[in-house]
Amino acid sequence: MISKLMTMPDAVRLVLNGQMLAVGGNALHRTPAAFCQELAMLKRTHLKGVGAAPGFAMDVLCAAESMNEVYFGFFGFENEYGLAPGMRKGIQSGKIKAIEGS
Amino acid sequence: MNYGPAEIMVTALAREIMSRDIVFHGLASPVPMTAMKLAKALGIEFTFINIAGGVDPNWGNPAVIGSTLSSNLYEGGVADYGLDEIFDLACTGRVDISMLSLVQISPRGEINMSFVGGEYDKPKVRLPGGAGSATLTPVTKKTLIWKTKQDIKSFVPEVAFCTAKADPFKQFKVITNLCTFVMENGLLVLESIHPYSNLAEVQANTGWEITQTDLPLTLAPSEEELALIEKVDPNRIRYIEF
Repeated sequence: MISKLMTMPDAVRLVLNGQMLAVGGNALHRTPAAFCQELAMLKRTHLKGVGAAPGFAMDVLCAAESMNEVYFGFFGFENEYGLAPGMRKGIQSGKIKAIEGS
Repeated sequence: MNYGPAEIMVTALAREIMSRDIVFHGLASPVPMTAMKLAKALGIEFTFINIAGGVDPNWGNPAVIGSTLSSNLYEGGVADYGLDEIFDLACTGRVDISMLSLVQISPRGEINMSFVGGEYDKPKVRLPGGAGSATLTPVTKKTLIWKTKQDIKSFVPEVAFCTAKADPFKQFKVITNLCTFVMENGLLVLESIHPYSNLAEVQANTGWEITQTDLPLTLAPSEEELALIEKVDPNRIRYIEF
C-alpha cells in the first residue's frame, strides 16, 4: 500500500502560489500554527485563506504577505488578545481582499 | 453596593433564560458564559450550547481563562454538538436565545462588526466580522446583545456598515453597562436603567435622542444571585471584558 504519510516540511511544500487553503481551528485554539509558520517562511504569494474563525495561524500568513484573499466569519483572537494584526494591516492597506460571510 | 456592571449584566442576561430554552453563546463571551452558568446554578432547566461544541458542560467547573473556546465549555457535557450543527438547529428555528455582541449599533438594530472609516475594500479600521450574527439574528427567537462599554462611538444614529440586522418581528434586547434597550416596532427603546446610572448618563452615551423620561431601574442582583455568580466564576473571568 502506498503511504500517504510525509514530514510536515514536505507537506508544506505542496502548497503553491495562488492556491486556496482551508485553515482549521478557531481563533487561538487548535490552529495549525507550525504548518503556517513554515509556509510563511516559504514566501508563497496570492494564497487564498478560508476559515470559519481564523486566528493566529492564518494571521501569520497575512503578516508575511502570502495571502491576498481571506474568507471568514470572524477573524481575530479573543478578549485581551484583540484583533488579528496581520489581517488588519493587509486589508486596511488594500493588499488583502476581505470576503466576510456569516 | 456590592455589585458592578459585570454582575448586573450577568444577572440581566441570566433572567432572560427560561425553562426548556436552547441557549447559545459564541467565542470571546465571558459575560454570557457566566450568565448561562448562573442560570444553571439557579436551577433553570435549559440547554446550554456553545461554540466550543459542548452541550450542557459542567457549569460547576470554573473557567480559568477568558477564551470561551476552551475545554471548560465541553468538559462534563452530555453531547458533542459542533458549530455547523448549531447553525442548522438555529436555521430550523429551534434556538431560543443567541447572545451576541457588536462594535456599533443603530436605533434600528443594525449591527456593525465589519469596519469603520474608509471603504469595505480599504477600511480605516478592519473589525473581526460578524461571527455568524447575520445568520443567527433573523432565525433565533430572542437575540440578546451584550455590550460592556456603551458610548457614542458604539451607539450611533447610522452604522458604518450593516453586518447584521435585528428582525423587528422577533425579540431583540441590548444589555449594556448602563441600561437595557428593547426593540419595539422596529426601534430600540429604553427598558430600564441600572441603579448606579441615570438618564443623563445614558443619554450622554447614546448617539440618538432618547425621548422617554419615566423609566424603571433594572432590578439589582439579589444576594443569592451574587453568591452564585461568585460560585460559578470564582476566578472573576467576567471582568476581562471591562
